Amino acid sequence: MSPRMSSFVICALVICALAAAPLGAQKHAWEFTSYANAMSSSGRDPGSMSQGSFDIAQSRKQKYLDDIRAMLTRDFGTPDPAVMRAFEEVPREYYMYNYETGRNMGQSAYEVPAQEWKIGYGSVLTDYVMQAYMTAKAKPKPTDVSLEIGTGSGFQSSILSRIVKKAYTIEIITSLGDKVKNIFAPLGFQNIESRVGDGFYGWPEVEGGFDIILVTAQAPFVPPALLAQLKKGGRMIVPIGQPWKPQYLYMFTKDEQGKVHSQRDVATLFIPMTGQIQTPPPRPSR
Amino acid sequence: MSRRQTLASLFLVSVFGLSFETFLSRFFALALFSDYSYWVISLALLGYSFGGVILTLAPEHFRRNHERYLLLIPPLLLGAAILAFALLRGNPFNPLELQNEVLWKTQIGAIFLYYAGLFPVFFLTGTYIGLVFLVLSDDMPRVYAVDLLGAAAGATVILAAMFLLHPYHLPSVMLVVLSAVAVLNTASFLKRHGAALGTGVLAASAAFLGFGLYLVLSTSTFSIPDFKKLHSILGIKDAVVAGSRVSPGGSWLTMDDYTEFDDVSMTNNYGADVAAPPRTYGLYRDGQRVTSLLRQVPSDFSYLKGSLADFPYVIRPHPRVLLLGTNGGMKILESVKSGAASGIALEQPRDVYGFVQERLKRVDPGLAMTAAIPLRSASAFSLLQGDRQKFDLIEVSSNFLSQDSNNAWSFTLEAVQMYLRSLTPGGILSIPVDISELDVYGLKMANTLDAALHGLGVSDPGRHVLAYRTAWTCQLLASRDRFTPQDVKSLVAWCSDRSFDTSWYPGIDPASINVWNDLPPVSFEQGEVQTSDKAQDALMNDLVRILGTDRGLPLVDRFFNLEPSTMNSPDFFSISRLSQVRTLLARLAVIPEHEIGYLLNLAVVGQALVLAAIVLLLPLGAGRKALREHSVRGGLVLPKVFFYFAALGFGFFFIELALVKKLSFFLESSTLSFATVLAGVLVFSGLGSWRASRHQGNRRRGLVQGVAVIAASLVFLIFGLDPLMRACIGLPLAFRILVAVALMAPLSFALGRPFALGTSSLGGYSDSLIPWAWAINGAFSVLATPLANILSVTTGWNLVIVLALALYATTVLSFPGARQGAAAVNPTTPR
Repeated sequence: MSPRMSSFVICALVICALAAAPLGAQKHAWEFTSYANAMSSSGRDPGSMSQGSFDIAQSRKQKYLDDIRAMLTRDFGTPDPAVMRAFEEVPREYYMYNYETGRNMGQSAYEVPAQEWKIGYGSVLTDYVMQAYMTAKAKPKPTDVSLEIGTGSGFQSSILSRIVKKAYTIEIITSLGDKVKNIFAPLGFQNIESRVGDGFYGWPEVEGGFDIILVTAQAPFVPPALLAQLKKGGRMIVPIGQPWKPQYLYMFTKDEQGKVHSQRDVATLFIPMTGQIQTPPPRPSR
Repeated sequence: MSRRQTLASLFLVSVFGLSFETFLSRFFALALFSDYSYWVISLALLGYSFGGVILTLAPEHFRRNHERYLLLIPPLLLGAAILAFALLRGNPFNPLELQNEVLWKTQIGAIFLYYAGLFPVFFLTGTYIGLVFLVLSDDMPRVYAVDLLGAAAGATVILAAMFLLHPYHLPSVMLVVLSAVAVLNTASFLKRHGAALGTGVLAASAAFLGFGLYLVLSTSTFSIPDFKKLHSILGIKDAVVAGSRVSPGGSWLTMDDYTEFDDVSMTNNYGADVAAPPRTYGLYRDGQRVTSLLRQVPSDFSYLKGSLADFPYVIRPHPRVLLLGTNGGMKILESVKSGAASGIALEQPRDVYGFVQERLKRVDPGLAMTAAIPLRSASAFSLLQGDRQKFDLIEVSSNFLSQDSNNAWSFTLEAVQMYLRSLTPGGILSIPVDISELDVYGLKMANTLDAALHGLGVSDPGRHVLAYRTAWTCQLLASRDRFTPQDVKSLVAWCSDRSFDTSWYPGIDPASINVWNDLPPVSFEQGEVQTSDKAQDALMNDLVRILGTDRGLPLVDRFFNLEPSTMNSPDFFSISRLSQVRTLLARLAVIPEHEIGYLLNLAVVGQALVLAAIVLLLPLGAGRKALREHSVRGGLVLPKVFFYFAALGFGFFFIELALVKKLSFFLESSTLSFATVLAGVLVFSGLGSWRASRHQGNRRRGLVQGVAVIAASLVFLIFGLDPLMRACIGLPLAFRILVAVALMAPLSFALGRPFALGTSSLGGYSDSLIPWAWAINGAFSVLATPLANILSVTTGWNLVIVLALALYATTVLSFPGARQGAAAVNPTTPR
């Protein structure tokens, strides 16, 4: 083989290798072909998503980010740059898929106003405003290790994975979990580990426990195993409420003595006011 | 068709009509939520009304061609019923999305799909019944009697079928009934008019029946809507259906999966000596979780040390206990392990009792653990009547209130007073309330305790109540005796060890309380929440106002109605105010799910008003000429017909609904009450209607006699029923059913008269008036059901009965009969 030919072959091989590598590893621009390839690699049919509908969805993305930024500014004073970067990086259209019917809803991504989406088996993709709120509430840091009970679409875990060191996620619904665990690798999200199983026992194999635990599967009490695996100073967030309806957030924290405190966060439902809520003066007793 | 055949077909169509309506109530409870059954009833009556409207517009045409219509309607009805079932099963309606401020618009189409599917069925049914009324108008009392008796039979048949068939398979019974009508009518038609049309109808009916049975019976009974909890539970890894049962009370499944735990409120501070709550089964009714269910005897009961409900056992060791609800049997074991010396456990409804009893026999066959606290299926009223039984601790389980709507009787002011009277000196009543969404139900219970103690002569209820909580549950303790300083000291220390918050005790100083579980104050009206750097306890702030000496905001000024529920208005989960409807709608997404029924009733009232206007105005507008031509010379027949039959439409349903509600207390089951009242009222009013034919010679006098009996009976219902029920509630169930039937019989017998006499008096005026009366009656019956429910929440059931009394009294004035003794001659109807 001549030097010219061998150079050509080497270049071709490099180009092919680059094309086959997962997206995130190379930080390619996210385009329709990337999307379609990733969908196929994850075992899902892009369905009705075309170049045109993909572009239309992307045209809404800036408004989506602006809405998230506005909410974070209103509720937290300043938007966490890491949270904003994560929402910019993670392509929401990739997660809008109903695993029970095989229907792709990605063309509706970055919808305004934000809404929930059915992903099958009784599960719902929470609206992005609520997810941004929960993410900011969790105060994720690059040194953190997170655990999510109730993987659902995988979007929340993916967001956290862009910020924390490692993200674990457990799905309790078999049919959903078996399919969703295939979606992270095509995007190059290497620091997510998922399994299907009983989330109430947490992930005891992870030494040292978790800085952040999100529990989206409801129980009558906070599972003791999860509390045990919450680090001191860690945050456990539990949304309470029915799907398709706004939810109350509970945050459980563990103090230095190991005692657990809880906080009910209803700021997503009611306007936060500091100071005394106006009430009429006391009336005479009976 | 002969008169006999016509009446037989009417009987069968009435069987179908009420059985289909009853099936729909069951179906909607499974496919949606039971609150939507009011909407179903309104859809049924809407269809009946419009059937009457159509007949009013062209009575001559229908009378001339009645045989063809009577032949064609049954197969059409078969097809419509099958189409309705298909549309019901495939309807993607999601009631939770309807409450979502973004997604609600997507549900409008689904709502119209229900109308499109169900309206034809009830329209055709109403048209058929109205047509028979029109054709046999000369003998309305007997015709109406057949209609009522058919309806009674329909209710009985379908309720019996509910013990055998899954709700999705119930339409198979109705399809067979409709086919029988088709065959009956075709046989008659063939004899008189030849083979072609009749054969075609038979063939169509057979095809519809075959296809319909296939469609119905092939429907999977595990098809659960995706917004119901059970849908996702069925998909959990290794989840197993451990048992199933169908009854009129629900479609029940027992699930064994790793998300099912004992429903116990726990500390968040699990030390080495506090285990996690044990695994249980989950018991689901109509797709929603009702309670945990005993799976096996736990190997480790140390979790009880961290349980919110354990404190009474600490300060009152070895109590004699009364358990109201058992959390699927778990409470019995837990109570024994906590040191209960003896006691009784009550479980309601009967279906849940059956499941619990079965599990107890399975896991503790020798009664080694549970003999000390035997289980009974009874309400506390039947046990505690006469104040003879005394207990050291009366403990309500966390699921008891929510596991059946009928258990709300156990949380009325009168019930709480009964519990307090049944305590030994120093005895404790212990009630948990869910505060995970809003804490308003906790406040309502606190108000109930406060009012109950006042009613027993306690001047300082605040010294007789303790309240402590987790983030999600508040435990309220009450006693007829003051809690001692030692009790309070024990509470504070015990709660501190477990990170429970003390929201009220005598002498509490809110400023000094260290809050573990932040609960910020929320103004529902303003849509605001008070934020603070320091953890807050809104429940404590409000309990200080309710139980403290410096009482704050009166109940009347609160956004929600927190007045105690009573025997007159027993629904605990009805705290919405009519005056706050606009704000409730604005906050639809966040109001407690229990309150949705109230708003649904308001929506149905709105719908019913529109329909009543159409039913009234359309025949007057389009058919005015026909009506006017046949109007009586002089007099106010049209207004009289309107007011008379509207009053009957309201009054009959007001009475029926009030009886169903009141007797649900007496019979300890809303399902049994519904079945008994429905069958009893229909049978006896059918007999009363039949008997009313004796008054054809003097209808007005017959009406007055009937109204007198109705009035006397209603006065008894208002003043005498409650004491009678409380006195007899200890009787065996079979006797109580007989008492209920005996109570209903004279009233129902009299109720059969007014409609029969009213319609039979119309036959002498105009054919148009009878179906118009039928339509008016149906339209106002639509209005009656939601209105009665709203009134019962706002002012109580006694007012509903008073209004019924007043309405029936007005019928004496609005009775349209002027031509006494004149029966219409109908040459087309053979005798």
